[in-house]
Amino acid sequence: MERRIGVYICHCGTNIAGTVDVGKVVEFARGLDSVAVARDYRYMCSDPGQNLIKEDIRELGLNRVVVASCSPRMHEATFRRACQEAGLNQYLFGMANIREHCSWVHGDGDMTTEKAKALVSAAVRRAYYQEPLETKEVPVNPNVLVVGGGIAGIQAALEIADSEHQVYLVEREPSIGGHMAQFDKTFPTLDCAACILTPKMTTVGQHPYIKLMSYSEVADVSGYVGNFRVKIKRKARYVHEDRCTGCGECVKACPVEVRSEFEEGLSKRKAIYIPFPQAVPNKYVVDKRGYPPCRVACPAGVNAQGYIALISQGKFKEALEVVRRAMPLAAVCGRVCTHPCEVDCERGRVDEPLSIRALKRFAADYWLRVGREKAPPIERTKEDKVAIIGSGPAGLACAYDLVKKGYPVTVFEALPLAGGLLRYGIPEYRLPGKVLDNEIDYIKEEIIKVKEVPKEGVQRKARAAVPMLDPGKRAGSFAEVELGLNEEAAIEEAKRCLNCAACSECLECVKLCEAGAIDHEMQDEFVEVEVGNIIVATGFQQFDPSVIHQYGYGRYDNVITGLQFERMSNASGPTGGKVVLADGREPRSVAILHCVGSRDQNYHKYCSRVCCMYSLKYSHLLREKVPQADIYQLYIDLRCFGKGYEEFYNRLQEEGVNFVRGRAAEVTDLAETPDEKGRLIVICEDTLIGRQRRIPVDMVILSAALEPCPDADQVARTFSLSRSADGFFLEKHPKLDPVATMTDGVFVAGCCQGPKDIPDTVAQASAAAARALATISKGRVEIEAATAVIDEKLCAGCKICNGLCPYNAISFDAERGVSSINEAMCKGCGACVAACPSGAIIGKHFTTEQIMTEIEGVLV
Amino acid sequence: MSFEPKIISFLCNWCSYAGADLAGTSRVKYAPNVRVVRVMCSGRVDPMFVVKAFQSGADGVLICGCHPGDCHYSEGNHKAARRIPLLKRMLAQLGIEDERVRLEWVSASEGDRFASIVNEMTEQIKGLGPFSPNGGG
Repeated sequence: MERRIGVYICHCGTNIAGTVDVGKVVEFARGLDSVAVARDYRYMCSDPGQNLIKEDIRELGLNRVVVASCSPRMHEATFRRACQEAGLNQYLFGMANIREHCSWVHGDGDMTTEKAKALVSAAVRRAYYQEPLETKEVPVNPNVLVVGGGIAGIQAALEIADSEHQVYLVEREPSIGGHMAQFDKTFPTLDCAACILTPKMTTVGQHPYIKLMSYSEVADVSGYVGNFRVKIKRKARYVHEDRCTGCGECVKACPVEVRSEFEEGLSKRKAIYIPFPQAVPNKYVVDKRGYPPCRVACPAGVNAQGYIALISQGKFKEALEVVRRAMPLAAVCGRVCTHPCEVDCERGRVDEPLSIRALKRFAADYWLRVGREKAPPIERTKEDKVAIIGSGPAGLACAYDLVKKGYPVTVFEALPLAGGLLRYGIPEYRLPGKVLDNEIDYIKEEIIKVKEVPKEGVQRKARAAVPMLDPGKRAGSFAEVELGLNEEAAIEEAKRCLNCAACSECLECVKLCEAGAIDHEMQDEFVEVEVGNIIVATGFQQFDPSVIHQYGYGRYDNVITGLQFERMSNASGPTGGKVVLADGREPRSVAILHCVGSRDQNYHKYCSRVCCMYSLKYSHLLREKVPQADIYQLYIDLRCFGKGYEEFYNRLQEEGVNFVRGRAAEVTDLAETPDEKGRLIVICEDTLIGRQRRIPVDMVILSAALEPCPDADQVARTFSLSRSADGFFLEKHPKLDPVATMTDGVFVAGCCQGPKDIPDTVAQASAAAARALATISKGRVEIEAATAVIDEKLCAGCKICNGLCPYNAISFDAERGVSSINEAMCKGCGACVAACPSGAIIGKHFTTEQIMTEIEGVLV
Repeated sequence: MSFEPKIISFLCNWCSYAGADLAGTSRVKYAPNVRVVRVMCSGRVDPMFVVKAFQSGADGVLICGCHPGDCHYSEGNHKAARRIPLLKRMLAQLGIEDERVRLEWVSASEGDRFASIVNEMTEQIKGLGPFSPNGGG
């Protein structure tokens, strides 16, 4: 068929016409093969511009259209639609990008116009070979996946669920709520954050259309818009959500204390915990961080952290139980073990490793001292009898483990007494025989039928030194030389443990849980769900100001972050809402340092947008709580741009806050005057009076930047998102498509897209929900027709393409000896097209012919 | 008149084409010697495209894709990362200078990087002189 190509060159006002001689380009286009008409227009994307195309298609019988204007990422869809409306298949449209790739990046001159001509020539030649394609519509699965349970995720989930569509809300932490749950008041209205957030959280928890998966992460996403398959990893909570009543008895039993993330480290929490009282779901979770190094190092696999944690709580008998879960010879190993656990102890990196062996000995000896109980007999559930030859430590331990599994065991020993080398190889002064006797007796009576005669058997603190027998008394006796720790010393020593693994697996909580909800053997589970749209709302993290050494965060107790202040100011926080210094006093003066990590070439160039306002809010809260305190705001510029924000700022000025214009240079405790003694001195240049200042204060609050989550790159890969230079997720268009992404069906909302305040976050979340609902209510989406197909006549059946496809869309038909592509699964990347040695695969709309001719065209 | 090389650049739709668009919207200026051919993925770049470009009068070929791990299609860029070095080895045997073919990773946020790669490559090829199909510069 004869090709009749229409070419339209856009001026884009002066955006293109300013540097490209549009007239010459039009003239050039007219001379190209098969061009029926070439025109220029000020704005091709406008209605009259589009009408030009439509009229020409109808009146001049155009069968190919080329527009030379902006990027196809901007207006390809616009012009495709125009063609379609005039009855021309949208794939017969082609575009030359003479704005972003030409007029905007090159200066005024012949070369720019020449380049524009080349781009037009390439597009025209390519259009010659373009073929009509039929787009397919696929049904949209009405379920939606929302990733992240902060205010953005909550809002989006509720919007969708309220329209009676199923939402899967996946939250990584044990509770939804995100950062907003940590806040005290919200600017500028001073609403209590919890008061406006917790009702929404509860609604999410109870909503019939929301399936909440907390403590879970998205592991994998496959499929395409309208039809995604999502694999969700449900991390083992070690507490059955359906059985846990949230009573909190387990917390009483837990001996382990670790930093509370929710309280920003201002207080501690137990290893079994709920993050905060209003958590949704209100179910406990056990914080397990793998095995601690001491436990890994132990050749017998004894849970050292477990018994140490219990000793620290004075639970000595329970501690011994923990040792005996792994092996029977606690008192023996507590004396003669080479303690590899102490070599690997993390505390050794701080000051000295714990005296782990001495603690084990202590637990075992304590049991003897208070009068040991007889061991409960274990039922023999197995029939097969086991004989063990030799009653050394190996034989005894082996017997012990078998009996615990229910086997009837008999140990045979050639020597008169059991114990092997423990008895006959280790001298009495290191391992007294009666200690060994006791352990073997315990094994005998409790567990094993033994044939008697003839043959059987952080503040740095030095570690606890084990008391030793006075050397003078050692001569002439074989009395044991090491004397062991006393109760107090053992507790003190056990408290030095860093609890590397959080949960110590002492299993005390299991005993207390009446609902039987705790299961320390629980494994991660994977569930798969099918959804049509995905909303990513994974939030931000607070910049860690300790990397700015001169501000002293981490060195000075009274230098705190904004989030720490939020917790301190919060009535349910660790101080009950009192603003206090580390020593409990009220501060007489407080400095708030703006732009910590933001607007700083060394850290983040961007403005975090919320710090000015929350810093002002802190001033107000401080005024309320510590009315006498002097408050200093050290700012670069105050950005109070939202509704009611400027008014809030004015109000603060009236409340008597000292505004100092200048970024703080340093926070120090080196006093130069008596007034500065014992205080923190903020050094800055006050740029309004043009002078250096030293401001003595008691407390410094760092308004730290918002930054992308540390695993944003991983999340981006999972959902095929792009990231902007600052690391936040990239929206499809910054102005016109702010919640969509490059991947159809995946939307972003909240701070994962860039720093923003709560109102903007909520608006964006609702927008993302609306976009998802739009496709749901339409019920079907168009999918790209530019897929690959195999010409079976040419296919040699080499199967090279089979392994190349990232979507497993290519399969081999063994009977016919050819491969074929499942078009529904193909996403049109073209990797197979480039690889096919016989040229049998056609990448539709990016055929080899089309690209080859484009190459020729662009080189005219 | 001084030699103005023609460089063909194959850009993947998702990262590098968007990166070049960003150079445009940010009005970053770079040498007009580069001409872009859009492909969906750098993995679509058939080595024959590069050969064809030289046959048709290009003096250099620049292939850009997403950074490793960021590919819109999971691993198409890995395929480019294997194919292009093989192609370059073959081109070297034909006497074609190494600098005439470049494979680079440019993300959607790296408009500046795209511009500087183009400028650098343009300068290099100006130094080499026009491409001659008989080998050598």
